[in-house]
Amino acid sequence: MATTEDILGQYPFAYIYANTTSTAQNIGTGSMTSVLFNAEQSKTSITHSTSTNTDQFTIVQAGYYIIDASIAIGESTGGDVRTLQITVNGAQYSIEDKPPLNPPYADNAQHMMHHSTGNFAVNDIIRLQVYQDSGGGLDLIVDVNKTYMKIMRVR
Amino acid sequence: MATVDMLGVPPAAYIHAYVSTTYDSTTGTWNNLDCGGEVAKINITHSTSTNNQNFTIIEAGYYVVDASFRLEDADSGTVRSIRITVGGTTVAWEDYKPLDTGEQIHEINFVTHLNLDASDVVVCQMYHDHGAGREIEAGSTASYLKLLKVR
Repeated sequence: MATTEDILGQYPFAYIYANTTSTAQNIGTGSMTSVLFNAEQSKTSITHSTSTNTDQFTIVQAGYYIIDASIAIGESTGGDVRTLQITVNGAQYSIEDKPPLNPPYADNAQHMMHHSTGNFAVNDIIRLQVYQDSGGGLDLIVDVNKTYMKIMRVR
Repeated sequence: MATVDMLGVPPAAYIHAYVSTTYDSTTGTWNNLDCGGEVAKINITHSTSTNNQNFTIIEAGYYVVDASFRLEDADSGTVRSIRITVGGTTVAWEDYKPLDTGEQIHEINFVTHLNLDASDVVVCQMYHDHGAGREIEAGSTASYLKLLKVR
């Protein structure tokens, strides 16, 4: 991969902080589901649409990235697992399992995060996916500080 | 954003602060991470004695947050949690399952990254619903907050 420093010795910046403001997305039981993001808090040099294929984040600048994904999903102790997964070009890239919880919080949600790093190429497509096996659908919580995706280029 | 120096390198901003005296955390409420010790500090404002849960940003930019709690635990209640607040607003939050009976220590580590402005006040908090007070253990590798500016 080629990465060119600018005249200040800085690598070009790329960053996105996307969330959702629409009706809560329902995650069906038993299938890995891509999370849809129809709002953006900040975006520089990463391609993402808030109206079409809103699950996709496309790399514009090759380089090393940190991914910070957060999900608040309806609480339930049903089933065995909640999973967050990052895919790159449709293939599993990183994955993390969590136990189902029923916390006593007012938003009736379980709060989960997943982090990853990567050396991504131009046009790589990144997605966040969620799995749950509660036995019924669970809604994602619409909150900019709870359900979001941040991708930041560091080199 | 941070000013670049003559070599084009932004000034470093970093802190590693930690719980210096073990203290009791209250069940059913959010407890601050009170940091009475510092391993390193540059360009972040923090006092080890007064409001030592507060970390005030000097250089605006993008920060990696790395927090840990070593909690006295015993598989009671439903959840253990860490959250980060900025100016009193929760901006990152993760829940964890209590450990099985027999485990006396529950070590929870949490990472996120934030876009912070100068004068932002960052606080790390911890929650448990054990049903009684639980100790947050002292130590620079046990219960700490690290902030590192990366952009």
